[in-house]
Amino acid sequence: MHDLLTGNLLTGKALAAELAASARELDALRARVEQQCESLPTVETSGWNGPASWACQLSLALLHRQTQAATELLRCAADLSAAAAFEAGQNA
Amino acid sequence: MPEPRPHPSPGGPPIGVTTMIGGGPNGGGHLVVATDALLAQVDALGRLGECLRLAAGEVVSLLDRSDAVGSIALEVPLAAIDARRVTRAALQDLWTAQQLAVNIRDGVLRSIERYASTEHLAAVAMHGIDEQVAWGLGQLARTVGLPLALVLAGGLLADCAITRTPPSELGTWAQDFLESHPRILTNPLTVSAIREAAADTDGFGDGFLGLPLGISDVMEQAGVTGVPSSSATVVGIANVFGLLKETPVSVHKTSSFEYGTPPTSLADRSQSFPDPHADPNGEQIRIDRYVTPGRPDRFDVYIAGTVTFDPKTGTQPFDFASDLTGVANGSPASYRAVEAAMAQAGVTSSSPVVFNGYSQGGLVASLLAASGKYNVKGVVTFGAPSAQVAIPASIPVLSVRNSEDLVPATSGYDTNPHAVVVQRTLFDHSAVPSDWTVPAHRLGYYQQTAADVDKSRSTEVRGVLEPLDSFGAGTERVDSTLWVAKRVAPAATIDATNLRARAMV
Repeated sequence: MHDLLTGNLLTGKALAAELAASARELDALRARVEQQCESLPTVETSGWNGPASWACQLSLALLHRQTQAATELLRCAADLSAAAAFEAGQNA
Repeated sequence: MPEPRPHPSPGGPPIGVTTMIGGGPNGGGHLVVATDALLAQVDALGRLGECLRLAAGEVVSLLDRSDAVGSIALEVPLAAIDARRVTRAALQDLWTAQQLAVNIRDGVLRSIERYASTEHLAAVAMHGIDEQVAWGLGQLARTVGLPLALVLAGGLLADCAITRTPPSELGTWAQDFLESHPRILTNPLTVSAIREAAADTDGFGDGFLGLPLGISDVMEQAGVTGVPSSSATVVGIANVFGLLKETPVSVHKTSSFEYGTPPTSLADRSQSFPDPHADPNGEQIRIDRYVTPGRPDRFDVYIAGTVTFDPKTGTQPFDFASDLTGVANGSPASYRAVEAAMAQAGVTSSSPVVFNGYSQGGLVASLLAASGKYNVKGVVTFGAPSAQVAIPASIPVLSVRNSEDLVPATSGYDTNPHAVVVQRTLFDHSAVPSDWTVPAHRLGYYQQTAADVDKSRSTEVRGVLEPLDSFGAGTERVDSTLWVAKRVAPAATIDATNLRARAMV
């Protein structure tokens, strides 16, 4: 971060390192969210029944889909960052 | 007596245990009712929401950094620009998912609360209706002299149903009938009805005495009447007829052994009770001392259940008289026996102690905790009629009840707002065993329930269970002792007449 603080322009090598770090962070975030999402029940086991329960089940399914979409995007962003890091490294 | 075989696995979905905190219509405390699975769902949603919030925060700072890098880099690859665009889309999804998780969690919590308040209102309404019925019955009984018949019939039925030693043909008939219709007694509805009946005995008394309807409400709220006073009345009436007499008690140690390790689960605790029916000496009390160098000794006290329901007092202190005296918040022989055993075992007022009780043992455990004489670190009861024993809020209480077990219901509604009550339905998906009239009260089934409670992820259950599981941590040696208690004097020698005579001398 020295370059950022001093206002100097980043070289290709420093940019590659920065992008690689972003890729790792994004991947770690994805893994953490995925793991937490796995602890959510996917099947109703509480014995709770009725319209409120069905609405809750529907919302849970939506939450699963939404979280899945977020983790897929995080995976994609991590892959792109890794690719960008590789490209920046090549150009350095 | 043989322990029941584990009941077959239910065919339907696992219902889980139900956790309640607080009292019933007269408890006055906050009431939460939810199945464990539902509470676990709330916990999981809360954790996911927090995880998503933190993740979104990290993505924001990552994007800020990426923007700063982009602005000073000599040349930014196209893939990096795409990555930033996709990361922004991921951030949007993370925020949406986080909001959704929070909303669902709030919705489930609101449903739980609404369910709880509906249950609470229903219970209050039911209590009011039952009180009117009880008052009417009391007026009727005043005319036809029913109370004595009820007391005797109650004792007879309990004796027949639970000990399988019917004292008369009527008992045999009643037992046969109940065994051929197992769903009558083993039924959550019956349990609710008995809990209501226990809570409404005062309405019956008011009607019998010719007092105006509703006076019991005022007296109950003032603490003058209630289940304890009703129980004391029953004992008082029975005493007149030579039944349910209290006596002095003696206790002696029969054996001591090194058990090994302290309990680390509720299942361990449920399996540590002495069995007076099976053990040759008939020990009712077990005391485990945890010895750790440099620390004061800690104790786990295990108290067995009722041994006989015979209303006529004999030598057994864990009897029907102790049950009723205990429910009346008195000082039953079984309670005094445990006190004496603890004193001999070296338990002092400062020794950290956990009381564990099954059935009447749970009632005694609660009375000991309520006495204020001990440094109590927890109370664990299984199927205990201890709902009306007021335990200080500083003492963690875990009460385990099988939903079809009528014994805990005989003490009415819970008075302790902080007590964690865990329930499990046993026979929803399987036949009721016919080998016992009240199978849901069997210790074997409570041991199964305890194992289920150990698996509970509910915050309330974990909050009370984890300190109990680590109570004996760091112990170097466990000294276990078994104790047998006996009533030392025939009831007749200390009956009310003699007590009056002694007082006059």
